[in-house]
Amino acid sequence: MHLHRTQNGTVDVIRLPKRLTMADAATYRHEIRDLVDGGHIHLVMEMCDVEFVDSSGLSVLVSAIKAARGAGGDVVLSGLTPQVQALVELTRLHHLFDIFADEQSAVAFLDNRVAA
Amino acid sequence: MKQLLLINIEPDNIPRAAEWIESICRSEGLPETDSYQVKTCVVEAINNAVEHAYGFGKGAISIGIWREGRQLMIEIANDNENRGSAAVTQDPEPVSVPVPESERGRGWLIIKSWVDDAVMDRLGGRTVVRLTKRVPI
Repeated sequence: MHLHRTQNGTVDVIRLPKRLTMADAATYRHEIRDLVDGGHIHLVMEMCDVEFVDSSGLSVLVSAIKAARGAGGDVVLSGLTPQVQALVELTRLHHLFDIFADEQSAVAFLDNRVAA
Repeated sequence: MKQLLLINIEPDNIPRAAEWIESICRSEGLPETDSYQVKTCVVEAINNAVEHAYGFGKGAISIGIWREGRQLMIEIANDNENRGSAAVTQDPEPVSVPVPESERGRGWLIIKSWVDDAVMDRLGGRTVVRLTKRVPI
C-alpha cells in the first residue's frame, strides 16, 4: 500500500491511511525516507482518516520527523481524531510535533516557516 | 463464559482480532473510549508476540476474554515451544516514557496506561499477557 501525497508549493501533504500499524510500518517508513531524501522535507501528516494507530505507527511518525529535521525541514500533524490525539499525548509525542486542527492550518504554518 | 479467538499471525488477522475484542468490550458495557483503549492494548500485545517470537507468517496466537465480576479479563498467548530459546519473548520495555525522539519503547507504556492491570508470564514455551479492565457501574 502506498501513501497518498499531494504537493502544495514547498509543502507536501501525506494523507495517512485508516490504519497506521505494524503491518505496514516498514513500508511507510521507507516511503517517507525516500521522499525526504528526494528533497521533500516539509511534510504535513494529514491524519483525519486514521482510525487506529499502534506504537509501530507512531514510530513511523517519529522516523519521519527525524529524517525531515535532519535535512533542515519539519513534519507536522493535522486532523487527529480524539482517540489518536489521546495516544499521541499519552506517549508525549505532542512535545515533538506541532499539531493542527486541519490540513490548511498545517500547510500555512509550514509555508510561513519556509518563507521566513 | 470465556470467548476465544485463535489467529494465524498474518497482517490481516490483527485488525480482525482487534475489532473482535472491541466488539465484546462494548457488549460487556465498556464505554467506547475504554473499549478502544483495550483494543489498542491487545494489538500491542499481539505486536509484541509478532516482533519477538514469530514474525508474520509463522505461528498462531490465542486471545481469550471473559468477565469476572466488574472486571474484563483478556489473555493473549503465543506458543514458542517450536522455536527454541531464541524465541522467548523479551521482557517488556520499562514502564517509562521514552524520549520523544525514540522510535521504540512505547508498546508496554500504552498497555500499562490504558488497562487497570497488565502482566506478562512465561510458562514453559508459552508467553501469556493478561490484561484487566474494570467495567464501570
